[in-house]
Order: sequence, then structure tokens, then C-alpha cells
Amino acid sequence: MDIPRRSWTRRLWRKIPREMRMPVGALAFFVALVWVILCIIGPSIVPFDPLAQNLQRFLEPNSVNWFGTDELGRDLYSRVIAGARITISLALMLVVASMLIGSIIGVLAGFFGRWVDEVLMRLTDIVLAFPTVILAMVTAAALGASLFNAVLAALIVSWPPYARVVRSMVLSLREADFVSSGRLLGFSPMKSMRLDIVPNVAGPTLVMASLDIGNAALLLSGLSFLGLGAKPPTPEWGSMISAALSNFDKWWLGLFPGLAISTVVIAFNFIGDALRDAFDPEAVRV
Amino acid sequence: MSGELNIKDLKLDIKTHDEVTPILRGVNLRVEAGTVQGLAGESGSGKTMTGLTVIGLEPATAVTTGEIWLGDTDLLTITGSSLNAIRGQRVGMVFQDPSTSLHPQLSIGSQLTDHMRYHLKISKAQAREKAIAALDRVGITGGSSALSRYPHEYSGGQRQRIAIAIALACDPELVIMDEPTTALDVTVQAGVLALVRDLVDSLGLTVLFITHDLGVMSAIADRVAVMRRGAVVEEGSCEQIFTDPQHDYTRSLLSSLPGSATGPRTRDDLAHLAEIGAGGES
Amino acid sequence: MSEPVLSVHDVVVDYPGRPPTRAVDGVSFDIHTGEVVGLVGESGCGKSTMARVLTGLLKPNAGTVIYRGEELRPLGLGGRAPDSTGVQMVFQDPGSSLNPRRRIGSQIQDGLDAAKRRLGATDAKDRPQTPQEWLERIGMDPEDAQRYPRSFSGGQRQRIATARALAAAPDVLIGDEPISSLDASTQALIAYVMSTLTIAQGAGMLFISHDLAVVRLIADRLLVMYKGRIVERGPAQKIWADPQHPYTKALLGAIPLPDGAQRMPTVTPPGTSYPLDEIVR
Repeated sequence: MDIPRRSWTRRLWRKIPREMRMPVGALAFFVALVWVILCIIGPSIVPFDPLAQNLQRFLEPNSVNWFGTDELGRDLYSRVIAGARITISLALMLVVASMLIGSIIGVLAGFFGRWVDEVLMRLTDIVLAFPTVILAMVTAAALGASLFNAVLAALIVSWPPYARVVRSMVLSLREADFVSSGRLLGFSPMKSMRLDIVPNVAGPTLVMASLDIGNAALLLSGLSFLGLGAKPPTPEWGSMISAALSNFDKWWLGLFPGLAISTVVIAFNFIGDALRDAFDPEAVRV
Repeated sequence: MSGELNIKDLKLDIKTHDEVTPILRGVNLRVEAGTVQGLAGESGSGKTMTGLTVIGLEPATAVTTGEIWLGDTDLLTITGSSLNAIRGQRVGMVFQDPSTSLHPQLSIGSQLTDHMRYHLKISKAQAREKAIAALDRVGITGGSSALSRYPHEYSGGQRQRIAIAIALACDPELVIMDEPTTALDVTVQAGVLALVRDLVDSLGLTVLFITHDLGVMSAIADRVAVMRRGAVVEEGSCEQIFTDPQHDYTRSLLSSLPGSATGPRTRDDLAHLAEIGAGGES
Repeated sequence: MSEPVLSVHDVVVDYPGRPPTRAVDGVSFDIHTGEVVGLVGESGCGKSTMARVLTGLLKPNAGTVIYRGEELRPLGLGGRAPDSTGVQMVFQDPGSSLNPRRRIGSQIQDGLDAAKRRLGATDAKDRPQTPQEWLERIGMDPEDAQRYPRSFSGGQRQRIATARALAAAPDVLIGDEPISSLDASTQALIAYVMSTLTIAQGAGMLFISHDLAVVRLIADRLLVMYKGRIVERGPAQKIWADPQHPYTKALLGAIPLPDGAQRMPTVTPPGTSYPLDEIVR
């Protein structure tokens, strides 16, 4: 399956020697798992309240405040861990929503063809023609800065690749004999899609979505970094890095949220690459 | 040109992560020079894999044991560039579907001359001359203008003739033909079969002819080997196999086939076959 | 003879292109209840196009298909009207004739549902009424209803596809090269099973194939197609024993028989073309 997303992590993955890829994939899986667990239990295990401003400002990392404290005297370690819930759960939501919207549009366009296909695919092309981040920025700016609006903005630019891929799968599936046979037995279009089309495109689409979580996290943090997402004092990684810019001599302020984002993105994308290698051994040889 | 092929106890396993699937379980077959040796069997019998192994095209995950003697060379012990020297030069191959075995974007001429120049180390002009002769031999006319054409300009039957010309270009001792007429219409198939017979008789070619179609087999083969589950169950002259089969499997195969001596001739015969549950399917 | 259940009048099909290709060039024939009609010809003669026209999957450029006295409506974007599910088809490729992600029991049930919708609750023919009974009828285990298509061989899948189509109680079953992807030793047998089941249902069958040697065993009548036209038609045994049209002669002569005689089939020079006039036997 071809994922129409350019990805810098893919290039990184290709540079890993072949015999090291499976261990690296396993490590990526472990890292992602840790982040998902932190996303669930994080806020209850942090040593300090991530919003409380009761500590000394700009403490360097030490044995009490592992990642130091920020410009308002908040514990950075607690904020980074608490941020996992925000970024990862929103990324998951974003991926699920764009997969659903994209798949519905792709199935309808592919199944009905003709003018339905024309209208839906031109719409998809229009969205795809805009640079992703710019369009998301415009949307977020128009709707007003909030985490929810950032997800909405990201959603608008994230569904078209799903629509594209699902449509092409449906196009070839529509010609399959069992689909014709169902139509001869009097299946309505709805029944045909429900029984014959959707179950046969679901697998590859889910794999595609799972590969997309890392990129979604990056896009959301990016919007927050630009001030179009999470608002203070929400412990969101992108906005934490943004705030760190004004105190760039305090290295720990940007480093730890930055590491958090990078590990999430790289881990989830590497899992995807490892899955692809495992399912599609042909691609490995390339 | 010798061309005698002797396969001795050829075993082939496909290894995946944790599984070993045996594909060939000890194939023994002797192909006499200058004859058409048929290799028959149903899907999954291992007939195609036997052919591919002879020319060294078995999958990378395959583990082989046994011997494959072409003249006095054991093909199984040969690897790398010496295998390339055998492939295409001493052994030619014709595949089932000429629309995928010919390169759609290369001219007939370059597909014919490239490997001749590689194997025979001859000049471009010499290769072109030989190529025209090779095409002429298989009934593709047009001389040098045919060389500049592309596969899509030819019909399915003509493409298969071109594929045969390519396989024969370096004067191989042995040609493996894997279902070469299966993708063709019967009227076109008749012409290709006649061509193969003519080439064998006039050039003294040795052919390992693999097909599931026993009608085709009966027309073209001098001797027939019947494969089942990775082994040859019966081998004999064409006449003996079809008129006096010894193995139960060969007998049941023939009895379910319209047109064979024991095959169904009427609807009632089919009813009888259905009753006794013939057809080898369970 | 009784009224035909399906009849085709002067059907013409052009495939778009420059210039358009004429796939079917004025074909007419009837199918009656209880008979097996064999439609034979080589690739590109238009026989598979005819299958798509007869089921309404393809709209002909000219001509009509009459099913039970009314013109068959081509399948549009919407669903098929329940009253036209009486024409069913078994497709060529056993690998794609069943949905890989549904149990075969529920796929056969689709056929039973179609019959119920078309014929109503009053229908009480002695037809199997459950997927399990259908599996028994085609010589398989009723327990198999719970399994998915991948656990069956090509021949078994074609039997299941036949059961699915026949469960809809069709008046006509069309087999579009249903045996050509199967092993040679099962081809004649599966063709026999398909045609016998169809006739036992009180339906008619159009069996499309390039394999004359098998078709003549199961068909009552033969239609020989060449370049989009029917060039010879008549009783199957008569045509097999004594073909009249030059094309039929060439076709029959080219079939190699598994008799061990090392007899070369008759070769016709490439590019030979035959008259398109029809011979009716």
C-alpha cells in the first residue's frame, strides 16, 4: 500500500541497516507504549501539579525537579508528562476523524463514480492543493485559537489522503466479481458498500491511520507552537516550546518538550515502517 | 548440441519465518536429447517449480538438494556469473504469458540482440543478422523492420513466437516451455505447437514441455512424466501414458477428461463420474 | 416450443475508442426453461460481453433483451429491482467470485433472500431453503457454512458461487467461463454439476466457454460465436460430430485430444478470416 505522505522519518528508517530494523522497530513500539501508558495514567503520577506556580522560577534540572522549572515556577517534568494526555489523545482523535471522513468520501466517490466522483475528488484536490500547515493556520486563525479549533483545522487538511487511497481501492474492488454478483442479487448500494466494499478496504485503511498518528501529533503541536492551539496555562508541548523561545538561554525549557514530541513522532512512524516491512517484504528489497 | 537433462532426486523446500514447506519431494527425470519431454500435473504438483529450478529461477527462500545434470554440468552447484552464462545460453525459457514475459517498452530487436551480444560476444551487426534469422525461423516475417517494432504491435500468438525466438537465439541445448500455449486460443495454439514440433525435428532441440493440458501434451510430447505432490508418479512414452496408464492417479486424471480413451463421452458418463466422486477434488 | 424465458434480439455492443470496437454485432437467440445452451468462441469474439448484456451489467448500444415478456432494465447506480433478480450469473475467477471477508453461509443466504423478495412467502418449491441444505445439495458439508472462502479449492468455490446464484431461484443462470480457471480434471465435472443443478431447479442455462470439448457434453444446443456474430447454431452433438461452418470446422480441428496419438491439431494459417453468414442446423 502506498501512503501518500512524504516523511522524513521514512528516509531515516531507510538508513538503518536491515538487520537492525526489527530491534529498532521493537524499541519504537516500546517507546510508543510508554507514551500511551503515560497518556492514560500520567496526570495521576506526576510529582507536582502541572499548573501550580509555587516553585522557584528557572530552576535547572535537579533531583527534585527532574526537568527543572519554567518561567512561572511550574515543574517542567510534571508538565511534560501531563502533556502526553493532551497531545496523544488529540492526535488519536484527529486520526480517527480524518480516517472516517476521508473513507466515507472515498467510498462514495469510488462506488458511485461519474459526477459523484467528479465533485468529491475535485473537492479533495482543492484541499490537497493548499500547503497543509498554511491552510490549518488560516482555519485556526479564522475560528479563534483553542485546542478544539486546532483539531478542527488539522482535520480539514488531514482527510484528503484517506479519500484518495480509499477511492482507488474501491475503484478496483467495484469491478470484482463478488460485487457484481451481489448487485445481481439485488443488493442496494448501501448494502453493497456495507457488505462487499467496506470490509475489504478497512484493513489497509486502519494500517494507514496507525502510521499517521505521529504526523498528527506533530501537526497539532505545530499549531500550538504558532499560538493557534492550546492556550496558557495548558501543558501542551508545542506551546511549551513556544514559550521557551523567549528564554532561549534556559536550555531545559525547550529540550524536554522537544524530546517528547520527537520521540512520539519517531516512535509511531517507525512502528509504521516496521509494519510495512513485515507485511510487504517486497518493499524491503527496494 | 547435447542437451541431455538428468534430474536426480531433486528436493525443494520453501522456508519462511518458522515454516518449511516441501514443494518438490524427490523428482527424478531423464530427458533425452532431441526429444520433447512432457511434464504434466495439476496446479500445485510442482511441475512449474521443477522447470524454474532447472534454469535457476527458484525463489530466494527455496532450499534445494539433489542433482540437475545438463550434459556433464551439475546446474545446482553453479552460482553467480557462471549461472548467468548457462541461463539464456545453454538453457532457454518460454513462459506462459508473452504479454508479461516480453518487455513492453523495448523493441523486439533489442530484446533479441541484447542477450545474444552478452552471451555470444558478437557485434551488433552480426546479432541483428542472427535475430532476423531467428524471427524468420519462428514465422515472424518482415526482416529488419520487425526488429524495430514493439510487442504490442503483435497478436498473442505472434508474441509467443517471438518469445520462442528469444529463447532460441543463442542456440541453447535445452528449452524449458512452461505452459507456452495456455494463454492462447486453440486455433492459435495449434500453430505454436506445430512450430515447436518443427523446431525440434529440424534443429534437434531438446524441450522440457510443462503443461496441465493433457490434450496439448498428447499432441506435442514424445515422452510424458506425470507429477503429483512434488514427485513424478509415472513416466513413459506418450502412447503408453495415454492408452495404458499404470499409476492410479494417471488413470483417474484421464478418466475425468473428455476426449481421452477412458474419458466421458456423453452426459451420462459425466453423471457416472459425479456419482463415484471422481476428479481428484475433495 | 414454449415461450422462451430470456430472448435476445439484434444486440449490438460497441466499446468506446477511436474508432469504436464492435464487440457484438447483431446477436439474437432464445433460452428456454430446462435447456442448457452452450455459447462457444475464442477470446475477443464477444461471448463475455453477451454475458454482461444478458444480466443487465452492460447496456447494449442497440437491440433488446426480453426477460419474461418484458425488456430487461440495465443496472443503474441504484439497486436492481427485485423482479429482475431472476437472471443470475456465475463468474470466471473462483478467486474473486465470493467475498473473502464473509462466511459462505451468509453469502448463500443472500441468494435465498433475493428469492424471498421476488417470489414472496407463497413460494414453496422443493428447493433447499437454508444455506446448509444448499451446501448438502452441492456435495459439501453443512458445517462449512461457518467458514470463509479461502478455505476452499477453486472447484469448491465455483460450486458455492453456483449455490448462491441458484438460491435466488433464477429462471436463467449464466455461466461466464465458470470452469476455465479450474484444474483440467475437475472442469467437466463442475460443468456437469452446475448444469444439472440448474435444470433440476427448472431454470435454463447459458454456459459460456471456449472449451468446446466440455461444453458439447453438457449443452443441448450450441451457439458458435466469431467476430461478434453467431456463425453456427444447432444441436450440440450434431455440431460436434459434423460441423458445417468453416470457422466451426477450424475450431473443432484445432482441439488437441488427450488420446496419446501425438496427432497435431489442424493448423489454420494466421490471418485466415471466415464468412460471417450464419448456418442454422
